[in-house]
Amino acid sequence: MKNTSNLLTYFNKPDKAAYIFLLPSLFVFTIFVFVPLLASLLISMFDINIFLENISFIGVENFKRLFYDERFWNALKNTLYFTVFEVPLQVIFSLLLAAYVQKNTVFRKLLRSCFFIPVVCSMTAVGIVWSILLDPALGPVPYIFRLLGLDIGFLKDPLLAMPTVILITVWKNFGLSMTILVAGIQGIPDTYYESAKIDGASTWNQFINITIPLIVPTLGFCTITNIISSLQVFDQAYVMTKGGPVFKTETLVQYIYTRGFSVAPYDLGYASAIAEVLFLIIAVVVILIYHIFVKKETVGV
Amino acid sequence: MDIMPWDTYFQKLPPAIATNTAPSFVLMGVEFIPEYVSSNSIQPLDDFWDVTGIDESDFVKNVLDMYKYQGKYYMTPMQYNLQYLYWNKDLFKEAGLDPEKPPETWEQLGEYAVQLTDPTKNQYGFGVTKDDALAPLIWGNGGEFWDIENQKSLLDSPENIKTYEWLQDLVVNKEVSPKGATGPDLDNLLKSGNLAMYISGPWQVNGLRNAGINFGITAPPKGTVTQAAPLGGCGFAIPKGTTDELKSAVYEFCKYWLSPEILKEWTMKNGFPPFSNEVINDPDVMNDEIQQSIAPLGTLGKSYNLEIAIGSQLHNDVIKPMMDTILMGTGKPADVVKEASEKIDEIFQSSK
Repeated sequence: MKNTSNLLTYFNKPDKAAYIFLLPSLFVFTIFVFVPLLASLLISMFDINIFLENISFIGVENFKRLFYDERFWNALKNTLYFTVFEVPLQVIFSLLLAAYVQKNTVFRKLLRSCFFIPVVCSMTAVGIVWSILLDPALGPVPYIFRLLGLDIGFLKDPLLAMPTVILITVWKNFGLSMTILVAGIQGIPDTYYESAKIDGASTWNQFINITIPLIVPTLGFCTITNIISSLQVFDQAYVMTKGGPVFKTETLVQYIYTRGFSVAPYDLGYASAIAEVLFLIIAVVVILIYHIFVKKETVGV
Repeated sequence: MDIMPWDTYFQKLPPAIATNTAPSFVLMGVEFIPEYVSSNSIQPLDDFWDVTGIDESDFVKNVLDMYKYQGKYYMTPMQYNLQYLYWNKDLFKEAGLDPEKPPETWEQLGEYAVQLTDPTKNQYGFGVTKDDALAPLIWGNGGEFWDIENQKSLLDSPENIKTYEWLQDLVVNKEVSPKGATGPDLDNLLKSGNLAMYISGPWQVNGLRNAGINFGITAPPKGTVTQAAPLGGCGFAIPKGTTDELKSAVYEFCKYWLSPEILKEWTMKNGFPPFSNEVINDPDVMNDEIQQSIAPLGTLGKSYNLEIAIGSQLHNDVIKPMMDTILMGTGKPADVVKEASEKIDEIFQSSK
């Protein structure tokens, strides 16, 4: 009785009560994130296939193997190519659009809703629709370009396939970044802009010197979340190009899926090793970016 | 009965078998027998013939052999097929070619394909996809892919390099096939009447009939040395978790499937060649236009990658990327073939 009453007193304090409220979230995180992460690390040290036959411990052999795997390096290169171009393109485009639509007129509110529509669509469905629209033999878009004298392969052209996937991804996702940035911009007090106007600052100067510095944390959030999802790109590349042509759009997650689930010998151990490497890459990149943006949070106007 | 795309099927089946939650029996391609047997995932079915009382000699031996691995039956037959040449008779007529005379040799096919290609109309003469090894072309010109018995690659040969150079010229320079086309892309082009010639299996027949295409079907063309087509087929397999009681019920269904009435209906409705002697000799089947065109091809069947556990790995990890590079024109056939051949030997080595 005394112990129970001590516990109740302990958890009655606001800062300690918070732990109880966090419990459900932590429980879900443990079961669906932490445990699979550990399991994946364990599986990466075994020779194990999808039939769960002839399982044997092989230590770091899978990790050694990926150093010599040309397709792994190709997938890594493609993933970085995608991220390096998609993230700045999406963030900058969303920022410029957010600056425009953040004013609370009826028209601009309508625009905000329209721009958000692609976000709520399934990436798989979007990928399928765009791959039909851009099909060189059957799609209307290449047909229109051919009428203008341009023969563009889009998703079937080795050089244009990845840029096309990037642009379609930006089209699908910019609405979300834009909405978050609108909230950030609308949080800036009007007094800053009024003072700047009095001092004769142009709209562009106000944007560069007031808006951007004051939404650095929001920009940081958009950038980090974008980087995390870009490094894990799969749906659109798989659905639109299946990693082709000539593996020019095969990303790390797709290669993990191919190795583990799609083609014999369905090597789950090796696929898990690649997944662990991807996890490390994302962790390092995110920690670096986070530190850069956390420092900038203290910049005043 | 659960029907799903092959992608989803092959994702779900192995874990289902491993956890004893698989269906009582499954239908899949015979090319998967070796890997599912090597992983102890499907049951041997040698007692099928005794239990059901069906006589094996009622069926074509070559076809029955496809359902065996290392001398034992692991599937009961459902359908078999070769690859055939489809041609669009209307497109032939428009191009000034005789609609009743498809090309007899690969050289001729190449010439016809150029005549039948018209970019202004989005029309292509001959469809090629990286997903297909185009075995009739390679074998026809005297080449081989691999020697399964001695476990080595036969891909890097002067005949093959010459064949791939011819193919690359046809697709990249003469543009007779849409760039980067997948199998489904070509299926759609064929059904929309934009593809004049295509090597494919009998599964195109109903789609073409429904689309109202005036098509013909015949043997793949002869090469400089011979004429052959890859054997394929689907069969019913029983996962390891199925109980003996359910296995008897499955046998009853498979026996029903192998009845002459059902096999005849399958052949007549879907265009697949018959493998039951009774159905082969049925007057309706013998008089069917499609069956008349493909019946003489029965002896041309040859195994591409059946009977080896690493068969699908060789196709997916080596042949498909090789075809992709050749058809995209991003590599010289001599170099690409050499690299692919070395990879095949590596895979054989690591599987020993």
